[in-house]
Amino acid sequence: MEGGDVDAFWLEAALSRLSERERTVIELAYYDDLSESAIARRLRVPLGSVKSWKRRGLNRLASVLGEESA
Amino acid sequence: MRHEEAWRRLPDLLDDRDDAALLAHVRTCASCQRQLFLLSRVDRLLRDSASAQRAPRRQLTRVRILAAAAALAAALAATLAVVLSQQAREHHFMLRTASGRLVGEARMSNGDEQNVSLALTARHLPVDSGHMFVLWAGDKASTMQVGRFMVDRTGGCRVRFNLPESHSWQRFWVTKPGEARTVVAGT
Repeated sequence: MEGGDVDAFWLEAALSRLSERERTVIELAYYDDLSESAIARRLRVPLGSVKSWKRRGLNRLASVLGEESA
Repeated sequence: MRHEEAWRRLPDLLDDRDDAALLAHVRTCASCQRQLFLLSRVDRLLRDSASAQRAPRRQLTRVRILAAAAALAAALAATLAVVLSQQAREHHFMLRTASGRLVGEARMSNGDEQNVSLALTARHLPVDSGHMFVLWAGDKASTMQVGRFMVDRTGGCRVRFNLPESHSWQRFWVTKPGEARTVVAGT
């Protein structure tokens, strides 16, 4: 397995540990390149919720990465 | 800024590094510095993963561009073929009297979808019995009066007619009005 494959494998596993709405917001932001406002419109939720879910999801991914590399 | 608030908002620094209060906290907090470092790695992993997923889409776009280029080339080739065929359909006829004297020329070229265009240039047509003439055209099966035209005192003129494209016009001749059997000049 090459480095890129390892990263992809780790990322997929880490994303699966997020709540559905955290994962959805992060995937829309990175994979669909949508702004937070566009995500809010797409999901029909307040912009504040999108910001909150994105922050929480990213922080959780970073924490998972920190735990595994500690 | 309290540590919990700063920790919650650390992901904002991935997009916006202008939050002075947040940055001030991070400068003094080792825990937040480590989390920010991990966040930047996560951000990089996500961006790389997104790029890798978009690559096949880019390849598909490239294929579409090539297909469009091929279609454009085909369209250009078709246009060129039409232009060349139009050029090939241009015919040039010389009009001479019965004695062989050159009195004009006719150039037939593509007009529109239903007609061919005939440009007649006459020189020194005999004007002793009037300045009006009639141009005729014929193919293997039929004869048609193309139109009347008037020449100047030297027997010269330039005139253009449209003929139906449904015929393959092979012969042209000029008569005096009312004297269809007396050919003044012909191809």
